[in-house]
Amino acid sequence: MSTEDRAAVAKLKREGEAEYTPSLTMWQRALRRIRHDRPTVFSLFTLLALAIISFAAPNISAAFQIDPYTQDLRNNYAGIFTEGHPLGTDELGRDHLSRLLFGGQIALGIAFTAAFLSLGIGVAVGLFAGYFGGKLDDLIIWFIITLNAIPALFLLILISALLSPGPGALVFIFGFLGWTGTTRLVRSEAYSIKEQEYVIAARAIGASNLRIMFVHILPNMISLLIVDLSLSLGSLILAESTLSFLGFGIRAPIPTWGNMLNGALDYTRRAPHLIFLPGFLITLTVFCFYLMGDGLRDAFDPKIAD
Amino acid sequence: MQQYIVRRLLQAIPTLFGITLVVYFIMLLAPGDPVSILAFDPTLRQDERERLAMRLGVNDPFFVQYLRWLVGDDWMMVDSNYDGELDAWGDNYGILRGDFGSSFKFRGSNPLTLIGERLGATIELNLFVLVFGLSGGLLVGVLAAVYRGRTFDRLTRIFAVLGVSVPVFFLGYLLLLFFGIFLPRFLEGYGIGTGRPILPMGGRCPPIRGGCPDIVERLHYLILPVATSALGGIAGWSRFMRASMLDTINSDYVRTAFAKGLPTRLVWYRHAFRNAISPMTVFLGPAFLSLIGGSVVIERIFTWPGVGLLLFDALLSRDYPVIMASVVIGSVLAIAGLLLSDILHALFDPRIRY
Repeated sequence: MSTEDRAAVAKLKREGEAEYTPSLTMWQRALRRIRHDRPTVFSLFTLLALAIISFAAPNISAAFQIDPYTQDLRNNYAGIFTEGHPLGTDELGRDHLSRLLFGGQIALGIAFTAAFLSLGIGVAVGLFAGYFGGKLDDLIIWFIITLNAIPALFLLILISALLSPGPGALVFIFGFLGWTGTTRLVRSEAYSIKEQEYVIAARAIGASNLRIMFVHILPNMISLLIVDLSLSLGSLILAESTLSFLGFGIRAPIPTWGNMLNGALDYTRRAPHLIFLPGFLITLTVFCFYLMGDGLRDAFDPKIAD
Repeated sequence: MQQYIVRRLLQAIPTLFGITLVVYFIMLLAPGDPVSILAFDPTLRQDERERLAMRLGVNDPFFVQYLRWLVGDDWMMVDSNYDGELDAWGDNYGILRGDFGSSFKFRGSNPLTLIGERLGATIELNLFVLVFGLSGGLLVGVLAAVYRGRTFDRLTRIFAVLGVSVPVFFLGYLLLLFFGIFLPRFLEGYGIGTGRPILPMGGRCPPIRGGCPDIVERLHYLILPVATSALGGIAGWSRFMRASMLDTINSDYVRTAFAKGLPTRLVWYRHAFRNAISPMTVFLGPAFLSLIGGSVVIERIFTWPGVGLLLFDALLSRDYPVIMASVVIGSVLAIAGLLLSDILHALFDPRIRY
């Protein structure tokens, strides 16, 4: 409780009224809990900062007069704080800072679009399967079990190695492979929510199936979906960087944090920062997404007392 | 119980067919057709190309091609000399009888033989990873539950999130750098060692000496890949174990055990711990899956000669038969793992009805 609330409670008690606790909406309570949860605040602000500097990559690069693609072979493996290259240069003399920035733009861009794509598919399929059940549900579950029995990384590298996708196609690959987890979550939630009294009441006054699904059932799992989104953003960043590291995802010369590490071991002795910086950025981003998901789950949990 | 196992085995069959269907479909989407690969010969005339295409059946409908790949064509007549007439029995046995065709890269080798040669290495690596990940994770998880809310618990939360956030390839590189360059150099500065890497930097058994030396030396080669791969496992298992342990210690029989005056230690480690383990079997299946998938990355970093590295090389050289075989075999192993996990779960938890 904030100090004003405490004061209000104390005042009411003094006046001899019944015990007073301010009632909060789900969002108010979550916001209040997040404010007191330092790891979540930290990850929120770190992610915000990463997003801003990644999407300002062209502007920052212009300000420093650097470019992620210009090669300068006489000036490769430059160290940190070299003149004209704040974070040095890579094996082809390309500026490391601007490659990191543009790499972040691609990583975050792919992760966000793919996460929303798979969320959309997952919610739609999961709602239908959970709400209607029956044969359709059985078929969808069989499909999900089949897809999930193939090791995820095998499937990913299989598709991306054979089709050599660009960033746009990669989003679709991630989106169409990543929806199964969300579907399972939404399906089981829809399954239990549809038996609740208010859903039966809605049906009794003649609400259509679509209206029940999207107006009465879906809003009740919003908090679950936000947590799911945060966690899947983290795993998408990991998956994309792993693919690019193996050389099957985003390919050179387009920079991503993953493919900047591909082969970086060969020039460790000359430029260790070429390994540390991209690796650190991947770890930090994924760490923040996972931490935020963890914190949001607790913040939305009605069973945890304040 | 037997009935349950049989039913689960039967349920796995449609899943297996689904997997082959998915894999075959992806293969057909891939650019480049077999005719242009097999007949990379500019002198080949157009009608010869067409006959070759007909012989290979690349113009047939998807399901016909899929079925031929699945069950083979030795029970039907095919056009063996490309003259447009069916004149001989087919010679393809289909993958159900273990015929994945022959590797493009290793001329004429059976993909299954190639996989068989490397399967041991992958199983050896992943077995160690699983054992270390599981035992480490259970230990950390139990301690975190026992000391819940204290510094150790809070540290393990951060450590667990960090452990699953570090990309395996980055961690592998860091360990290689540390044990290969930084630590030897540091020790050399104090007159210890020769500045050579302290642990083997990759590979399995040194082929130069012919065959594998004694077990201690072989274990040296396992240290870095297992450490790299097991960290994520320890992190994940510790969270599951902590949650499961907290579930059990809030249950009535644990309170009863305390109430009748048993020593705390005994209640924790005999009553609570044993019951907290059985839900872990649920996570065993997904863990198998991620180990099999992750073996591509870990084997690539440490040049561990397993199936993952075989698949990686096959993908680079577009060696389709080997790719198909590795993915199908990997998925079969994954299904076996999922089955094993379900059966163990049913064995450990008498509440599961089967």
